[in-house]
Amino acid sequence: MEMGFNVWIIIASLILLCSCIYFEVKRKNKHWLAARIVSTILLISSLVLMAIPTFHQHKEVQNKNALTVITAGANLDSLSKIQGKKYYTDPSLHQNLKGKANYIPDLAYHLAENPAINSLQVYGYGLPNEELKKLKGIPLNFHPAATLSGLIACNWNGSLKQEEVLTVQGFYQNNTSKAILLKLEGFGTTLDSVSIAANAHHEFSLKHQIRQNGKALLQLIGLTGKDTLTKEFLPIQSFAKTSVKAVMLTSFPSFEYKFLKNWLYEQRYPVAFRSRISKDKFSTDFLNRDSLSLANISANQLQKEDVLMIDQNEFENISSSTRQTLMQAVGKGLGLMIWVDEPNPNGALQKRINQVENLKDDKVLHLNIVDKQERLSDLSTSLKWHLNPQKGQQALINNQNQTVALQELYGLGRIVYTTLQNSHQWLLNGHQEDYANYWTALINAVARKKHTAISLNASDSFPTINEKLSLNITTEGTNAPAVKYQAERLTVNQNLLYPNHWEVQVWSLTSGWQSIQINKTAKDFYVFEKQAWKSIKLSQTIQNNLAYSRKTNIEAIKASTNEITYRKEVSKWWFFPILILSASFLWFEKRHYAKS
Amino acid sequence: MQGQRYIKQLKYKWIAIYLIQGFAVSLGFSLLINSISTHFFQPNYGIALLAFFLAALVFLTIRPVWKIDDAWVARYLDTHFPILEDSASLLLRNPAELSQLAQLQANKTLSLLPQKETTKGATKKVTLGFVCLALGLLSTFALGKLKKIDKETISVEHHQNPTIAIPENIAPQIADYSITIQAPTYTAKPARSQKQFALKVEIGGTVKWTISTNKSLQSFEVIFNDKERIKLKPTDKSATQWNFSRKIDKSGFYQLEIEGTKSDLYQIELIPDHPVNIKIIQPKPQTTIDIGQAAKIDLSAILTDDYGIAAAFISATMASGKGESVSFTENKLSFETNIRNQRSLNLKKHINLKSLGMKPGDELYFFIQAKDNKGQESRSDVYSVSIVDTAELMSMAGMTSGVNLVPEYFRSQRQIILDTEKLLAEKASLTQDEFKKRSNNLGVDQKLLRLRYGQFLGEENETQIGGDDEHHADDGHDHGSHKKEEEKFGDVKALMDKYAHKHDIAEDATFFEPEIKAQLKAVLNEMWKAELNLRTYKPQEALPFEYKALRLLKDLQQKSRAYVAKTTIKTTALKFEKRLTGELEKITNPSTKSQFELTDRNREELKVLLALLDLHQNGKSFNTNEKALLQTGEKQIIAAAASKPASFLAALNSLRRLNSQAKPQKRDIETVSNAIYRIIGKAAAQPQAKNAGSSKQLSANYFNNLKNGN
Repeated sequence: MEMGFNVWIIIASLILLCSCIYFEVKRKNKHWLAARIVSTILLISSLVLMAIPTFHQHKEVQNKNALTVITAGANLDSLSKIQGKKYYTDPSLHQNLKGKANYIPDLAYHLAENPAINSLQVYGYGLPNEELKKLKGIPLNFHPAATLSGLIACNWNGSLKQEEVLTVQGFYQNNTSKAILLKLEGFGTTLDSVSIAANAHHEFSLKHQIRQNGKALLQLIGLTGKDTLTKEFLPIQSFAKTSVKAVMLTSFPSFEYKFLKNWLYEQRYPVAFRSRISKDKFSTDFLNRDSLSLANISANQLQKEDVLMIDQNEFENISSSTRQTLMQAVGKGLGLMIWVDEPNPNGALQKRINQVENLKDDKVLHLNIVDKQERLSDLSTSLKWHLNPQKGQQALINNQNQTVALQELYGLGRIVYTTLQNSHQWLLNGHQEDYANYWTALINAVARKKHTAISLNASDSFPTINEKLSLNITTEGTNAPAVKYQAERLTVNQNLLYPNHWEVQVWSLTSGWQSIQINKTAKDFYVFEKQAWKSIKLSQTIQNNLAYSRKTNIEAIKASTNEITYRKEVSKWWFFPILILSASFLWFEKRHYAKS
Repeated sequence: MQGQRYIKQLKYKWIAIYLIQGFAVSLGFSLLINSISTHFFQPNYGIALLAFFLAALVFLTIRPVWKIDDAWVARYLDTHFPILEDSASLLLRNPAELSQLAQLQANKTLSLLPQKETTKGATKKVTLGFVCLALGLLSTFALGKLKKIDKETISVEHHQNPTIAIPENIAPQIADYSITIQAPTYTAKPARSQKQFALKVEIGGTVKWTISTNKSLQSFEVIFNDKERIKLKPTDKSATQWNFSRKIDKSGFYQLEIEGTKSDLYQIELIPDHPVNIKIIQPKPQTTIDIGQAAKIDLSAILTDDYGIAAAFISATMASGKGESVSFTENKLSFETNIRNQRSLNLKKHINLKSLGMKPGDELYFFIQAKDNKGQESRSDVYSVSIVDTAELMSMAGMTSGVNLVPEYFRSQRQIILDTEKLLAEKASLTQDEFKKRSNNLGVDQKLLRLRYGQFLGEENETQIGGDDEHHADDGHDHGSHKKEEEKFGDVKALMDKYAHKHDIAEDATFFEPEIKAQLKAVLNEMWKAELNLRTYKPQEALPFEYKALRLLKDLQQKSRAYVAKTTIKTTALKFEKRLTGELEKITNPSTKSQFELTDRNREELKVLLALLDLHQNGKSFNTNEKALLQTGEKQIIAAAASKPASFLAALNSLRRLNSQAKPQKRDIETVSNAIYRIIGKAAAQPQAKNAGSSKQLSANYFNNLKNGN
């Protein structure tokens, strides 16, 4: 039909052209004849071309089955170097990419519509996690944007107990040419700070001992001179400290035991202390607790204690049945701490540890806590023995290269051995802090772990306002907990594998501290503003995309590039000026001739 | 001729007058310029010189002195004295040249020449010159003085008030006020007054407030440290003038309460007066005077104080005697320097120990005691000086009893000393050669002794002390390689022995502790030096080394002994019928029980308050319960502010604002948080149980399955 229309137009215009030329030739005067004929031909042909659409061929190299997606962070200047058609999915890029790339409102829908697409080329920070999930395994070739300047990663222990140390650790990428001072601020003062060198990828660790009891909002601030580059909130919560119930059994009175007993007493820990006087004769102390029978230690009693401290002599003195009871209790979670003396070939301990005689002349101990990398102040005392870590044992306290104290697992519980018998020297020398650090390290390593009734964890490390947040709840029992958030009851999903794990989903419409009621106990979590921790989120997006692209293994699919020929319609406006010009020439020629 | 002489005299008079005037004016001008320039810029005498010449030049152009000649004087006379009838110039002419009439006129003029007031107006001119000069001098003095005062005031201000410059809110009822601070008299500081309520007072100073109000007040009270209230009485009938004074001897804060309205809190900071700081430069804390050294010490010390040192002396205690018969004598030695309230003193004292009555073996303990003008006393550490007792070294007391490690050699060292002393005594009666020979022989003895001691250290050859030197074939002992043993083919051990140096390692061969070894080495060292001097015929120089060697040997000997005092204990009588029976039934098990009472709960409350403040950062207002908590915090901050107003007063102000205002300000919250954070302070680590998962049952089951499965 259309074809016919074009043919008719051509025939009609040919007739018109022939008759026009005929009239021109037949004209009496032959003034500018050739020009007249040419302009007539131009006039008619442009008229025809305006009526009939014309096309031109356009060739483009395009990944045949690939889709190029531009995301935020892509270098706009280098976009032109990317071959083929470009698309974007983020509506916030409208402003920058208008005319340069096409907008896809829904990537998943677009892919479903074009099943030929079997790979994606992504430029910039990458696709958000939700979109990645919807790709359903379509391979993705990721061209990440240049590394961001700012916080790349950051983590901290958000819920602590009294007097615990908050540790904020992470990475800072400083792309600026100036050093950045990263400060941990709170309570109107700077708590800790670190300097990040210019043009460096810097690992940082900031520490602060908790002083408040309850919730607090600290700030992590990055400064160059007086310019604030980063300012992020760190929500932390502190809870009451958990007590440790201790029993001490010693074979002889010693200052070491006496000082430890008194120290625990002054720190308000419940302590039961038994010191052997003679055969079956004991001196007992009950501090901050009710008295109990310590002559014979029952399994029931041990189940209620958290730590049992005993010296090697006493450990070998007690009857083998009591020892068995004790070890069974350790297997069920009791912590056992043993002061180790010289090796006793027939002793009950011998097969567990390996003492090595200290041959060093050095009378000063330079101890450090292994897992905290913390130096304790020098202790001037001679150490007769040190320990040789066996299989399954881990050093706790080291004196330079020698192990002074170590721990091992025993069933559910742990055992700590120490050869240091003079830690009270710290107290005598006025180093209260070192004494506290030493004993805290040992007791914390072994103390029976406490069960919490309810625990709450956010699945996202930075819960954000107006976004879906799933919260993981762990309860003691397998009954569904009653969860209330902003006076609304929430439904909980039980975990398929763990019957006491639950998941609830909330949409928080306000930022700041949020309270959620789980079985009538209030638990708090913090919701950040939209812009908070942006650099980390972006670098997370980059990581997600990289991980996705690695997983889908783009190399498996041969990226076949071939030329695609496009037919493009030539705009009709091009012919209009030709029409006007040729018509006006003919008109002008007539006037010019008449004049002359 | 008479007339010409008159005119010449007058000419010189005028020239002198003009020169004086010009000089005075120029000098005055230059002084003025100089004083101004030195006041504002650096002193520069070139400018003064330039100004002088400039002024002189200007003066000379206005009044060209060289133009004053006879004709000028004649003109002057004509114009100023009409009686001369314009004929003064006639006097200048040669009388011979004059006409008759002119001569007559000249004679008439001569007789009429004025004797008085010829220099009329000169006083005015000279006065003008001197006025200029006076002006210059005045400006020099005035500006110079001003500069000096400036300097002084700057230094005084710098000294007194480096910090106080806080804008203060003053109650509207107060029309005028002034505060006079009188530092205690011993500080010799003048009274100063200030228009600021925040105070910085020397300890013990008196502060006087003079306040006038713009209307009569019903009540006016001052509250110190939020505890002590003082009701003021007006000094006039209309109750508008108030004053009160108070002696300040502790820091804190105060506020004014005018008709029930409390003012801001004003801090009272104390400038403490430290006792005298004594620094002894010489001698060392412990000095030993060996034989041969002069028995004297040169003491040198620097004493400094805030306001002035009133007195300083050396307290010296001499200990003489031995064992149980030690006697002490105390001496007070004064310094020669005159001590008159100086702020810093450099004291020196030459102490002749002999003149104090010190004998060898005595010890002197001394310290410097000083008193500042407030009466605070301070003293230095105790220093000691001891003179080595040679007689003690010579005594046999130590050798006759106790463990005797190496008895025979001690006598030898002592013998060498005795011989050396004998040699020195006989020196005059000996020939040069004889003296040298005996000295050399003593050196040989000393060497032998040294070698014998060297054996204790495992030294075998005489070349070095304590050194482990190369082994030579002719060391004087047998090496395996010397023996013509038949070598067995393939005997690795024999081969090794050939090259290895195999006999006891010298250092390990002795049975001394390292400490004793070190001292033995020191003995050998001294002997070495003694030997060196003896061999070079200088027995006098050798003597100190010999003594020192002996002293060290003596110490060595003493070290091997320990003394334990006898004590008496009263023991209960043993019951022999119970002895060694092993019955323990009647022995009870001692048991104690105690509960640690926490008396101070403030820290816990402050911790809760700290978290509470953090929650209100966003401007949320406090409810009643929270305000009660703020009240408890206020008590703590008041206590802290009373001792350290400079660092906690701002927090107290902020806390009161938080309590009164509906919407808390972020700045106030931060200030208070910071103060509470500091009051809580750092805490020591405390053991804590770790957290396990929520479900006890589940993990236990899992664990048991794991255990049983294995």
